[in-house]
This record gives sequence, C-alpha cells and structure tokens, in this order.
Amino acid sequence: MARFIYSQNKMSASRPRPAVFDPSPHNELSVVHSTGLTDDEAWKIGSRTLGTEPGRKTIRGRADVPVHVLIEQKLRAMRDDNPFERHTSVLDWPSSNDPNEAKQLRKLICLELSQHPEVTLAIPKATTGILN
Amino acid sequence: MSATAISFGSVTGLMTPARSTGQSEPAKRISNMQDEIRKHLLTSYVIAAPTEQVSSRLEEVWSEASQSGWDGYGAKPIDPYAYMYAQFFVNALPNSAPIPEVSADSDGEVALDWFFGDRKALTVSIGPTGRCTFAWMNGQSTNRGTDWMEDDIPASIVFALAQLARSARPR
Repeated sequence: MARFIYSQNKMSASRPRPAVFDPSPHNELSVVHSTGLTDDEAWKIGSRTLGTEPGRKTIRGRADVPVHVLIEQKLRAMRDDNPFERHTSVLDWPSSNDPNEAKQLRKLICLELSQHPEVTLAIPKATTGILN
Repeated sequence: MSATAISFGSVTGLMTPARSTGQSEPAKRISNMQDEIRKHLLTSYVIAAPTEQVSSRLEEVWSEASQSGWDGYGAKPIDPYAYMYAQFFVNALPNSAPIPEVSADSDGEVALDWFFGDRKALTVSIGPTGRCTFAWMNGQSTNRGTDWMEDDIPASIVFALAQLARSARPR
C-alpha cells in the first residue's frame, strides 16, 4: 500500500512520521493499492491526485506499507477504486467510548507503522515534475 | 521536585523555568536567581540554538497547517490553543533534553516526536485543552497514556523521555 504525503511536516529525512498514518478526521486512511506497480507507475497515480482536494499541490513523499504490516495492527485494507482506480481505504481503527483512549490507541498504531522496518519513505525525483 | 528537573541520561538538566511555590523572601530570591541564570544560559548560542530551532520549527508547522485540508486529506487546521500549549511544552523542556521533531495531527493537535533508533521512539500529541496523548516504544515494550499540561510537562512524559534517552543516543 502507498500513502501519498502532501505535507513536509509529516516526514523526516528518512522516515514517515507517525502523523502520516493518522486516520482522523474520518477514522479511515486513504491509500493506493500499489502491489505490482513499478515505482514510476506509483508516482503516476500520485500525480493524478494533485489538485483533486485542497492541500494536494505537491507530493512530498510516499510511505510504502506492506499489507501484512497493516494486518499485524489488526487493520483492514479494502480496495474500493473510488474516487480513482486502485484507491483503498484502511479501516478498523480502534474505537472507544473514551475519546482519550481512542486517541492513545490510534497514536500507538501510527507509531508502530512509522517505525516498522518494512515501512519505507520514497521521495519523488525532481525530474518527475511532481515535486514543485 | 519539579518533573522536568529529572536528568536525561547521564546529563543533568541545566535549568528549567523556575516553578517554586515558596513564598518566603529567601525562596523568592532563589527563584529569581534561577530565572536570571536560565536567561543568561539561554543567551548562549550553544544552549539557545536547539530551543530556538524547535520553536522556529513549530512556527513553520503552524504556518503550513493553518488552513483546513492542509494535508490533502481534509485535516483540521492547528488549533490556536493547541499551538499555545505546544509552545509552553517546548519552552518547559529542560535544556539538556533531546530535541523533538514537530508535525501536526489531522485533528488539529500538535505532534512532537522523538526517535532514538530501532523501536525506541516517543510521540506526543498536544491538544487545545492541554491534553497530552502519548505513545512510546522501547524495544518490545509499548506504552500509551493521556496526561494534562498544568504548570509543567506531565511527569509520565518526562519519565518516557528519560527512559528512552538513557537507553539510546538520538539519531
């Protein structure tokens, strides 16, 4: 799975920060099903998302997450191809009647994902024209 | 003892903002002296630079995340009170404490992260009520909790940071 990053503050030099995986405000994480895609093909999908939502002016990076890492965290990836082909939602984020506990649980999962050795940060090449 | 007076690793905290509640004249004089010494230390480039660096990074993130939808996924802008509490948090960090990375959560809170190497990390989200939600990992141990900023950084977070700083060097 690939999570496109449009904001510089969500990544450090070599890793996505935990906030990259924050599913608020809809308790869903919007990603792209990238299995079987080359690096260039993945960036091409990213470039098609530019301008489709506020804040999508520049792609700063891409967090690549193997599906089994999501499963380890008891999350579920559901490909829905909406609003574009290969769009996938990561669901089943923990909920709680206690909003403090709900936030704690989300933060721990975000931290686990950001620090997992198989989760990597890809940076677009300047030549792709994606990074303005 | 003030929570932030706890030393980090083998390095003793130089000075945190004076928070004595002593009302006697000697107590007030000592408190004033502490403030003066701290101000003096903060004028030193070596000590002031990291603190200023975090404050300046905080301002950059505030500016970047000031509009609704700033992250491309419908995030809320940073809440001004969350920003204020984050400033207070950063200013209250002991001068010898490891420097956090700054980012923003999609719900309008400010996130401070410390990374110390493989599975040694702490993340804290600071909300508009001074709520600090944190999660940390130290090897196979993981912890999470909620605490509130009152007149200092919550002791639970200072404890986490001290544990991580003691066991690893920042990367």
